[in-house]
Amino acid sequence: MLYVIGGIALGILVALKANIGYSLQYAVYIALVILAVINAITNILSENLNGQVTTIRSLILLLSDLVFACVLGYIGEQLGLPIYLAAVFAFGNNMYKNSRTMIDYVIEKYTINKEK
Amino acid sequence: MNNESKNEVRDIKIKPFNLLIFILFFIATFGVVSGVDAKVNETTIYALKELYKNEQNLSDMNLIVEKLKAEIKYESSKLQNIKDKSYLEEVIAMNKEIEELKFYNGFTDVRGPGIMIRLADSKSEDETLDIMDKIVHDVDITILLNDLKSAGAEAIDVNGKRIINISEVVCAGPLLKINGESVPAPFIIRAVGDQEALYNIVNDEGSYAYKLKNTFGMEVVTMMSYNLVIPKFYGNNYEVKYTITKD
Repeated sequence: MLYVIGGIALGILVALKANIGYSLQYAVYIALVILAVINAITNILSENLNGQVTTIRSLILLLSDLVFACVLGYIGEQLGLPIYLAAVFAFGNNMYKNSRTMIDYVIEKYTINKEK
Repeated sequence: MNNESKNEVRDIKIKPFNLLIFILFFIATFGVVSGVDAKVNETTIYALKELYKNEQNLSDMNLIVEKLKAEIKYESSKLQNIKDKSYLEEVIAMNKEIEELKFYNGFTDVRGPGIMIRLADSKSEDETLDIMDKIVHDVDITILLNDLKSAGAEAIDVNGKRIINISEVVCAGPLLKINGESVPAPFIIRAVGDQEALYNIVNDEGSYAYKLKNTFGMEVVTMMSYNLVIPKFYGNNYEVKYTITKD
């Protein structure tokens, strides 16, 4: 939890202070990276609840997601078609699934605790 | 209780995992916040995209224009080269040809070794000869010229009138008409060519000039010369009306 709060705080701080603007030419890639990272976070959190998480696996998954998303974005850019939307929808879908898993877990835990 | 302690153990145990979590959160927050901070909306992004596309098109066009320019430069230089080169060469060749043709057809002053013949009317006192036989006729000159040509004369003139392919030698009363101009006696014929051959064709026994000299008593004097200057054709009535080139 400390790491989470620390990461968020540092991210906000650095983003506001450093004021690093990225070229809008790469807006698609930035969006995909952010989505992939958030997707990885939700993935890790939901897996953490079941105790199945491993660092290497999540890292590899994150990297493969990133590479695939960026490739899709690149192809879309070259063709002039919004192919990157496929990655966006996939990430969004995964995120919602994971959040549902987490919410289910919390509900289950809460009801079990109440019954006890 | 049991669950919490388990979590704590895992937290301590898996340090790289914590680091991963940290980095991921950092990246996500950083990206989102800096994106919000940049204060751009979707339309700007699309407008910028359009702009980038246009810029790309522009640079492509520029490249094409540059290429075409280079091509034009290359072609024009090639053209200039061709113009410069063959124009001059052609002109030189044509000039040379013209000069050659002029030379062959008697439109240039020439010089060379040859003979001179002086032909004058007879002063013979012989009463048996007809008066008409005593004077030099156009036929005599024509036959003499023919003889000289047969002996290989390359350039001939009669009293300064160059004999070319259309030169006429006709009787005009007491005078001769050569190249449209009147020529009085005595006639001095000059011919460039092999001196021996020319001399022999005139002076051999049985030749026409020999007959003129010895039968009719005309004055035929032949001299060899090592440097005869023969003038060019001066007539200005050289025009072709009926002949056309056969193609």
